[in-house]
Amino acid sequence: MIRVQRHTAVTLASAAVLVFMTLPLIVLFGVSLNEGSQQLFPPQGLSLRWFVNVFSRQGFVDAIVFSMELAMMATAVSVVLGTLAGLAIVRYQFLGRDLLITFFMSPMIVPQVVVGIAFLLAFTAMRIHSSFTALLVMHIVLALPFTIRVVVASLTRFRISLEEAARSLGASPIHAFFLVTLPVIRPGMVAASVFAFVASFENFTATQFLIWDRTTLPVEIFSYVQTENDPTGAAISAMIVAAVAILVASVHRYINIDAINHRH
Amino acid sequence: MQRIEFKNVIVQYKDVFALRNLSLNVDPGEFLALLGPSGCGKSTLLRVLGGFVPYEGSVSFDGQAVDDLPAHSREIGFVFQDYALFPHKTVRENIAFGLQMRKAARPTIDQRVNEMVALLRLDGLADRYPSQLSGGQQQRVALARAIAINPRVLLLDEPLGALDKKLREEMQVELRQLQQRVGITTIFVTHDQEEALSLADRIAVMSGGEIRQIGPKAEIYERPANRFVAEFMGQSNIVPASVIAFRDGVWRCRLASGDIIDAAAGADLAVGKEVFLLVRSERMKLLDGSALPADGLSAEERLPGTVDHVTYLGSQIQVRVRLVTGDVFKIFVHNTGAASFSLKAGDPATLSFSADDVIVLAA
Amino acid sequence: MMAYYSFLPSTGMAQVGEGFTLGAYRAFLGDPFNMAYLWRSLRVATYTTLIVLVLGYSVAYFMSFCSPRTRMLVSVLLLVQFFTSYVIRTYAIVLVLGKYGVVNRMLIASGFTQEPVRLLFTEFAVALGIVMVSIPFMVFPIYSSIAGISPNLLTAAESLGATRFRIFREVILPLSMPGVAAGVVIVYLFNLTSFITPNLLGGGYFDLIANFIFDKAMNTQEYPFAAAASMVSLVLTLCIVYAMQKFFRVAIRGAER
Repeated sequence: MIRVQRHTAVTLASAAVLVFMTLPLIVLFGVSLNEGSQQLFPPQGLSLRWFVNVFSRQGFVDAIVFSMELAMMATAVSVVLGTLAGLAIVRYQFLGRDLLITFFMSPMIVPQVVVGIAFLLAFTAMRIHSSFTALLVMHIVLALPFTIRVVVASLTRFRISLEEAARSLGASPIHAFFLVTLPVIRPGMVAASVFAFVASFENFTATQFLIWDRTTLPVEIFSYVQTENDPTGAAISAMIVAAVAILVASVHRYINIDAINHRH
Repeated sequence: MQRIEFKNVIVQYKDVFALRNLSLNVDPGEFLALLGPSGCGKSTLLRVLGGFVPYEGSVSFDGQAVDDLPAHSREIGFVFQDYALFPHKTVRENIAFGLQMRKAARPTIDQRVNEMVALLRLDGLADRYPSQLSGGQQQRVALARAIAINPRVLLLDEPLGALDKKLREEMQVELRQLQQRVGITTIFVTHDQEEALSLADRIAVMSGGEIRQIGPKAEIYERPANRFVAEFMGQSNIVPASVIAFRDGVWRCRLASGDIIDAAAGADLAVGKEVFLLVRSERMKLLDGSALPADGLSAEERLPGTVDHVTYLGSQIQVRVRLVTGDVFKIFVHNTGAASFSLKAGDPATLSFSADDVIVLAA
Repeated sequence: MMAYYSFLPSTGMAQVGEGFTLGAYRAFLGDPFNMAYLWRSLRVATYTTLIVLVLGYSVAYFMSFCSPRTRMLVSVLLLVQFFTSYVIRTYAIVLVLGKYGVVNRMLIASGFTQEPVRLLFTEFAVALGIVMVSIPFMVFPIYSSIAGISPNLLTAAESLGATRFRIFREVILPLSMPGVAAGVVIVYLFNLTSFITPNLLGGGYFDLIANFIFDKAMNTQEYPFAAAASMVSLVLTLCIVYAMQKFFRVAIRGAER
């Protein structure tokens, strides 16, 4: 770390940027606490009624449930697939390895809109474009780059001698993996799960293309704020932000910044 | 206590041969050191035995081939360079791991673990995690873990590399005693010739995927078979020469400077052959410039030269002497007090040694 | 770079009934009205990326020399941003910039204007939104690069008499180029194909290419047309990424000399 340089200009600039970015979120919280139905900031009167209102609206409740279901399943599958893919990538040299890596990472590069359309067209052709399965598959695909990246990072740092030691002591390779490798890369797996979950839960643009009667939360919020003008939208948004903040704060130790980075 | 045989083992990765047609036998209960520079294949050989590397050829224990056995069925104890202690398990659990794999009964496991803890002096540390142990302690846990399963052979891959000098020397002694007590066939990999000499019964010096010489350690040191082995084991004072005569069991050789040296040993020599003469530092004596040159009659050989550099090393004084041929010989003089050594750079000096101590190596 | 072929059947061609034609492509590429969206997106993406680069670099630089605790705070802040759905973040901006939003109310209250200023639904709003949303993407790769610079290099430079500014220019800047490259590529791509921000903050008045595609696909059901437009965008983005990589590779190599 650079320890000596203390540029006041940079510090100020950074502070400004960070404040600038956080301000809207603060406004969000403020607006959600309004007593009246006007979206005012600073809030006039403090009330939690809009938070309650969120839950009274069936649309939101359904959306929350749906998003959770989707995200949990997508996370589970993508973590498993991601681990398998990660193992293959790190441990084996095979023809077309680089191609495969690029293939798996492509959802991160390809614009969301294109992803959405691509899946829509593909699934329409297969006549399953309005189904949970379709959405799930797309979300898994969207989450995979994150899980693979994190798993690969963890496995690269993993000392292979640990696994070899287990094998020398009588554990079969699979046994060794579960007894030794997995526990050691567990923090990485946790991070991967978090990334995958969030990637799925908050996805909007691509998801839009595949929804029908059932929608995910971001989509629901989106349509709500386009038509309605009360703090309910702010309330549900504020809840999400709070949840994310807690989540991030608690797994912060595990999240390696490199996991988010592209390799480009 | 098992006898190990390697027959024609080849390890190849793409175009690179890590091991070339290597054959080796290890006697039961023996402590063999695999010695050589980085990349010579010594670790690879160990890993072949461990079952971690694909290979051609055959490896057997007591006549039984183990080539088809995967690593986890080979009954070996492996100690890795980085110890490879499971960070998420305590010392006790680490040591017990192998026994758990063999589905031993709980009481058996406990008893064996306690034995190991006592044997490796780990009392009081059994419930700690590896990150809470010092380097030396981790080392002992790695050993305990490997021995706990009563393996057929103990394989150690440069296990003392990470320790500082003092600790390393202590561990060397401990290791040797342990091995003798338990009586297990042991193969030890190192790049440090001192370590090899201190620990092993036999040493195999390797380079480029082949064994350059294998034999009891004294033999390796006193009678190196080739220049590589000679230079690897101890100070190499080497000078080129050509054989000019053979008389009375003694080979007479001429150096480029015209000096004549007699060498007592040396198979495979013939008049006219180009050779290298090697004399170990400890077999030479340093005389000042007033000494007479070799006269071909006494049993003492002499080489004149000039003092090149004098280095004070505490218990010894290292003197570099440049011969007339340009080659530099190193000799160590015991430090017996301030006044005992008076030579300095530029002074003439003579090295004296016996013809019996001249090792002749092929060109 | 490989496009997601298995999920993108080459429906860039019209599939009206049978037969493949390039009619959709012609319609898209030929019509200047359609292309206008593309140009607009490119333009906006370019200047927003530049802004984000400057801002993001400052934050990344700051993060590298502040105390570990501050750094953790900042990264948590950024991560929360990163993980909060774009929808929510953009909506928050709506609240700030809207007719009855914070800014307007402040302006009126302090007497600068009488009427609420129209801030939303303008290019300004969209650009602002894009910048805000994409800053985290720029900060992380750059920070990663800067953090990877061995402090010994800086000490060496200092011992040789370099001023702080020169150290920055000669040591830090060049060595952070890989991070800059990564950040710029990510952010540019993201901005170019941004959907939510132009939608919410542009309100239909300032659509970008992504909105255009969406409209064609979902609203008017012109699938082939939308597909053609997406293929064009995809190819365009791939070309841009490739060009950027080339450019940066040269820049990095130059910096490493």
